[in-house]
Amino acid sequence: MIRVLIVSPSSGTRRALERVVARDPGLALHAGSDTAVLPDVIVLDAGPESHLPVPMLLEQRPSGNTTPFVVLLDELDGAAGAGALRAGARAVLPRSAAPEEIRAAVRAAAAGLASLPAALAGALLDGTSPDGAGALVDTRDQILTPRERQVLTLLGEGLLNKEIAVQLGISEHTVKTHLAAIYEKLDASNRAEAVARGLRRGLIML
Amino acid sequence: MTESMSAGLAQEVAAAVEQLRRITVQVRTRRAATGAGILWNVAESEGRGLVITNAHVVPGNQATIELNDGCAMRARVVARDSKRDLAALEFEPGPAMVSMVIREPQTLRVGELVIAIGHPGGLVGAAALGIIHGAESAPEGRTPRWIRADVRLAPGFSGGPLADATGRLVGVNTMIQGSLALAVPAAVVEAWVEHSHALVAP
Amino acid sequence: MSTVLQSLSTELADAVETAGRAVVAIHARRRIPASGVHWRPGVVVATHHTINRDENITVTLPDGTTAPATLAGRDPSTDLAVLKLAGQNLPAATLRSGTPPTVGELVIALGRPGPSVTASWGVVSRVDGPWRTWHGAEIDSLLRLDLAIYDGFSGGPLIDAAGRVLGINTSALARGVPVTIPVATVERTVSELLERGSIRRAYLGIGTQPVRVPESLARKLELKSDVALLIVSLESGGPADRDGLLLGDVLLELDGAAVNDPTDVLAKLGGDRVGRPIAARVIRGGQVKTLQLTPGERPTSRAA
Repeated sequence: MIRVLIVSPSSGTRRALERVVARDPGLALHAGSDTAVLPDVIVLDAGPESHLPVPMLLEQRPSGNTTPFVVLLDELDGAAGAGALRAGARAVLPRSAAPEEIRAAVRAAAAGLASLPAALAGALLDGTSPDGAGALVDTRDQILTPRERQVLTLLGEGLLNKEIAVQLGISEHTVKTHLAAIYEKLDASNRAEAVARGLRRGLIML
Repeated sequence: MTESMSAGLAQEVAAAVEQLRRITVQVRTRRAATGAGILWNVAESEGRGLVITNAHVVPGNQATIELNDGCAMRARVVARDSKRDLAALEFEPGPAMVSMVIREPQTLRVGELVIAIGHPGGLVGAAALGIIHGAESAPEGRTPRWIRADVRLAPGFSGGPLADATGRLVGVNTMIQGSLALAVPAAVVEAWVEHSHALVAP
Repeated sequence: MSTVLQSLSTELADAVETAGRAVVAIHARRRIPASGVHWRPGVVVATHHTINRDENITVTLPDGTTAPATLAGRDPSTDLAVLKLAGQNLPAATLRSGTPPTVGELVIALGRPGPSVTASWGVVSRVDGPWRTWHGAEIDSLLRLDLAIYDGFSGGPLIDAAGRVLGINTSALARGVPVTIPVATVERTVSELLERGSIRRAYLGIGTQPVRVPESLARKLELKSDVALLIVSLESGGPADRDGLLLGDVLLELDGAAVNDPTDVLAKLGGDRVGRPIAARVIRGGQVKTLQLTPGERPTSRAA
């Protein structure tokens, strides 16, 4: 009997997941309050209510505890899923995964295996997102386009518009267009602000 | 600067300001805001006094001038140069004597201290301290159009005096350009007064 | 007669005249000329943001003559640029590096936006300790001024009442507020620019986001601060990637200093760190690990 602990900030999602587990005779629900017996697998819902990124959540378990995690994410794409796996999750699934998938992932985790949707496997092996940098942030969340990031990085080095244009092989006018977009997206009103925000969002490489 | 030096400086600035106030008047008209004016030397006054101010301070032909001692009198415009933004007003009875020394603009040095007197926002005889900002490029030997000073003025200073650390008249405050003050060189005013006063019928 | 007033007036005019002998006008952009200071024999310091071209730069000397100058290097992060001026018999500026400026000290900002020198006066309104510009460069102290800015202000010297130079003025480092880059920072930057043409900076190839470490974890790991940096992007093949840093690692300390903000990382990436391993403490898998990261050199833009 595989004891499964469901962790979710949303009571609705938790109940749904409990029902999924209950349907499988080989799986049993573990009441979180039971400290005498540890769960065999933890299903962690890293939903929108959980403000921390997955790695942070994974760190919350007591040290020495190596209970495998099956992580459910809002949306899956190569970057977020890969990041969660690298941070120690045994499986990553979208919250919309079918009950059979969730059960299969739980069983695999209990058996010491890692699992993920087949479609993700390719992206994971590839390990990169479109602009050539590995990123933890969902590429759709990467507010700036790759070119805008380049402009922002050069801005961060203090280059003038003309110098940025020369470095990137584009016209000064195009640089100004990119700057306007960058200011808007980062809600900045000047270069210094754009750079400060870019630094704190991980958009400028150090 | 030591404490006694700065106290001495404050005293001297106060004394210089007091001297300048004696030759600074208020110029009031119905149409324009109150400006300042300078009591001017005249060779033969015949009981009349002369005030120099900016043309934009006196849009009409008449104005009321108030001296430092509080005496207010009617004055009339006797000469006007809109291009240089200068105007001359006559009033009676004129003061007994006005002594004023003109500072030659070519001798001005960047960085030297200047004092301006004016009447900003209802205040009478306020002083502002600054330095000469820079020479304007003028053709060899010719007087520059403006004296530029790094001193914070307000509209009530228009038409009033800009003097050096010895009390000599450097110019007539005329315009504010950003944080700089522009003054018509006193030598230019002097030449203009001599020229136009000759035209005025006694 | 007014002696103190006249003395002060003469003193200020003398200071302008003396220091003005080392102030030049620089023609390196289309509009009004910029100011520059003849810092060392044959070396003119200017502000980076007023030099808009690399070639055909000329300089107007105090005597009114023009001479060609070449751009030796620039550092956008301190807004300084260095030009070389050949064969001119110009006095070098007298620098005051011993006693730092004090708040309330009477100062004059000189410029030469044309053939003649211009001046504005005021006081030092604030002197703060070491300061990091928004590009991450370190300025030895921040001198804020209460005086008027005008054409030709940037690149000119700030002088004291005795005519000694306290630094280079710029209006481009603190959102339009007039600021002076102190002598010590200028000296350091000039030396490096003359030697290398640009300022060297170290690079790791990481993108970070400040995150709050859960209290329980912070307590468990006995962390000094509950704010750390999450590694959200990693340059493939970059120094950090190569040395084993992973996405999702939470960076706590670099070289023994806590990092709460990306600028704390920049503070540890000065030019002298290139090629020198630096200890990085991270949270990974619920535990704290220490990695040795060896920064590479940051790709920068060169003057020419």
